[in-house]
Amino acid sequence: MLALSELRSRYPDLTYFLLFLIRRILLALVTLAVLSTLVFFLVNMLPGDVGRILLGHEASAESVARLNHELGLDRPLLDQYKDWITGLLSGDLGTSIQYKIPVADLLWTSLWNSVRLVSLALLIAFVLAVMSGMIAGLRAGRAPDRVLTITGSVFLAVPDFVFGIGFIVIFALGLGWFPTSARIPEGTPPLGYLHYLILPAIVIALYEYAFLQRHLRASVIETLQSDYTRTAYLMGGRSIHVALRHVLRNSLAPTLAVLAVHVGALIGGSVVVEVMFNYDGVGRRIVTAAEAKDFPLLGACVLAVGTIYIAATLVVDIVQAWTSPLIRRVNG
Amino acid sequence: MDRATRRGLDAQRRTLGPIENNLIDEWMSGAISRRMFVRGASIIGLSVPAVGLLSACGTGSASTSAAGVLRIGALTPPNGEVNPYALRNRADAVPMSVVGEYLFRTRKDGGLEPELAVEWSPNDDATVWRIKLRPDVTFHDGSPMTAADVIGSLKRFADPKLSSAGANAGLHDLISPEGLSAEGDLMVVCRLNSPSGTFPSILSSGSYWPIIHRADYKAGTFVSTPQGTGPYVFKSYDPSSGASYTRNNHYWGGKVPASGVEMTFFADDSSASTAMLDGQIDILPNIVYSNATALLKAKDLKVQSVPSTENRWLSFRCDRPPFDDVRVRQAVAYAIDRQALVDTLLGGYASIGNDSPIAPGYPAYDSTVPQRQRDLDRARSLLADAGQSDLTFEWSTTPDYELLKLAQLAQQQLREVGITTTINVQPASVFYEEPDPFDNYAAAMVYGSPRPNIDGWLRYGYVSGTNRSKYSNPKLDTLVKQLTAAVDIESQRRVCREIQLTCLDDTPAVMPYFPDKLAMTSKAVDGYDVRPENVVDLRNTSVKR
Repeated sequence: MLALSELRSRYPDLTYFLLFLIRRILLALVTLAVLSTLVFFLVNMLPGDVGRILLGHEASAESVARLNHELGLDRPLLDQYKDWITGLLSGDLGTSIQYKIPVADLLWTSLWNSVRLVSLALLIAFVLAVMSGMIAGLRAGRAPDRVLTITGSVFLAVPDFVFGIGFIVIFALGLGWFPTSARIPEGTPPLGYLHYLILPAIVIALYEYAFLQRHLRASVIETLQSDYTRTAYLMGGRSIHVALRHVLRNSLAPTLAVLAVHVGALIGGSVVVEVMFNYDGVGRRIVTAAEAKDFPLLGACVLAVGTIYIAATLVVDIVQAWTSPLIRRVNG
Repeated sequence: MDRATRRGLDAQRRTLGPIENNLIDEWMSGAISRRMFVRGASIIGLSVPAVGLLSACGTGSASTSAAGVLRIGALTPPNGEVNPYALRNRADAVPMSVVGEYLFRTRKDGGLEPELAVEWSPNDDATVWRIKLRPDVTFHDGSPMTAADVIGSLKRFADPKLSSAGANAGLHDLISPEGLSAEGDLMVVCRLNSPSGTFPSILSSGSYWPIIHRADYKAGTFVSTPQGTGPYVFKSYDPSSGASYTRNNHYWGGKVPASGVEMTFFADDSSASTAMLDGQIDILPNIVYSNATALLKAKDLKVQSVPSTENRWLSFRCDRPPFDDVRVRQAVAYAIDRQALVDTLLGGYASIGNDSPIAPGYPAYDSTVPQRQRDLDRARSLLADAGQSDLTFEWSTTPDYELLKLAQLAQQQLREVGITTTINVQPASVFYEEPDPFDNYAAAMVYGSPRPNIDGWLRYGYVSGTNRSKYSNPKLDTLVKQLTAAVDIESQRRVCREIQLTCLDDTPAVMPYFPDKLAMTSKAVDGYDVRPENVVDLRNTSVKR
């Protein structure tokens, strides 16, 4: 404690930041522990018998009971939970109940696929949102702003499967520009991925674009009314210079925070698009694992998505704390 | 029949047993059709030369025309392990059928043709089956397939401890490890625990997908160390996205026409349909009519259909009111308009059912049993006699296939005779949850997988003590035992007729139709034939790019 107080007096900013960091990491670990416990018990509360799901409805009750015993599913729930947690802590994600192969093999493939798709979608959404958000904010209340706002509202209101169907019908079946399935064939060079991923990425990007664009527009309008922006204009700065250097820079920070939070949600939450474009992402993996009550696989997927979500928010918090002394002092 | 043919046939007959000769007599006397003869011959394992002499029926061999990689869509990704003895549903079985083979293959007409077995024959009471294996078959790793491998495979299929599909189907009741023996490298002798005239059907591709694998097979190594005997070899396999295969250059059937196979797994019908329409896949087997109407209308695609033994089944709880009264069950059956169901739900791609599980696709089906027709007056009269003129009941179903639409349409039809029903839809995982899915409802609308051996289905759904509808009729129990033991096709048909009539009278379930097996191919595909089974046969299939 003495060392801490010394550190605090000598390097107050650094100390507050380190305390903030430790606190946030501990909080993240607690969140993951709670999440894993919740997932385990909620999955086990789901209706359906694993043996029956795997063997089908024509199998005898004896066969179902035998398989459940073989899989260790007839043991007390707490014993199963203990084994699973022990495995996780030692880095073993376990074996998939349905496929009888290591969960890690299935998880990393799906996770990497999701990261690829979501990254492309967010890149498209972000670039478009920055351009149109700036235009809408700088031209608030005028024709370009109205057009962009109405367009964004449409993208927010229409469900993604509607766009998905429309894109498949027009660009895949009609014009034949892109494939209907986003599955990337073996041997495709990295640049060729774009051909398969572009349609589902745009479908995901539309909603994200609209959300970010609205957010950025509001930030731009707020920044334009700030003292430093007015000062920059009064000092004779060129419009484009002020817009990029002062307005965009200051408006982007909160937008990036929102974007980071959405990364986690999109990684595991793009199920509809993944199913529609027959893409092996982690969202689809979660659904099929839940249907089969394949707990080791489902638990690992949910934890992976949760970890990404928490990591993304943690990074945002750290960046904000680093740049804002007020935040780190309050939280640290 | 000319003299030379008759002389050849006589020579063949001298080597055959009484069951085989009885079948030949039936055919020659005109008692059975050529189709029935070929089916019967395939079941009892009449040798290929004899069948060939009589029916000019051959097994065909792989074509050798050059072609590209076949692209196949598989509906629903596998949800089980890659294991030749533990394939539990068609999603698992389809990708395995590209690399694995069976002793017997289901033909288009429902009979059997040789695959890894070349001849098979029972003793007089069908308790001992001798299966002669195809010579010069090698596994993908180059080792020869012998009787020891087949015996090892059969032991695993029948081992209840392995939760294999065969064991789940009751194969362990029929086979004991000590009953299996080899005579040399290419003859397997199976001494069964009880008579079975349909034993080869149980081991066929249309049954529980019993892929013959090495005697020393270790679970979990089927992809990493290729061990099938089929025309293609696993190159890669991912249970969520798909599998790729290369040509087996040492295939016993010769060089297959396609250079490889790419299989894509689809989680839902609509994405598979769009991929087919888009030309991303060449073949889509196992399509469900109600989910593929756009495909069926496409001009540049070919639809293939074949009658199947798959069924839809309105099962009554026969042990409690209101369906413990046979009149009430019959009333429901008379109120159903089967043709309307088939036309509306399946566009005509189905065989009309007659309230027995014996589908027209079974070799022993008796088509002379009168077809139950819709009769609303009779339905009302039966309900009145039973004191159930205002019958109301709740039934359950799942959203699988077209079951929900079927339940809704049947609900409208039943309303015409004053029957009010409530449909309870549950996901399959909930519906089939132990201990008994039928406990909470008066009736249930479910589906039944295609099975080449009807006695297996009867034991599952109708025999006392084993069926979930709690139906019990000692006469039917005896008939099922007789059917299991019957070897020649005529005695099988005689018993089947009795079973069909008993089911019609008792009506423990309404079987409105048997959907056809449907597949779509692009016009560039050649040599693909849909069969009444869930797996694919690509030995002769090619595609031109």
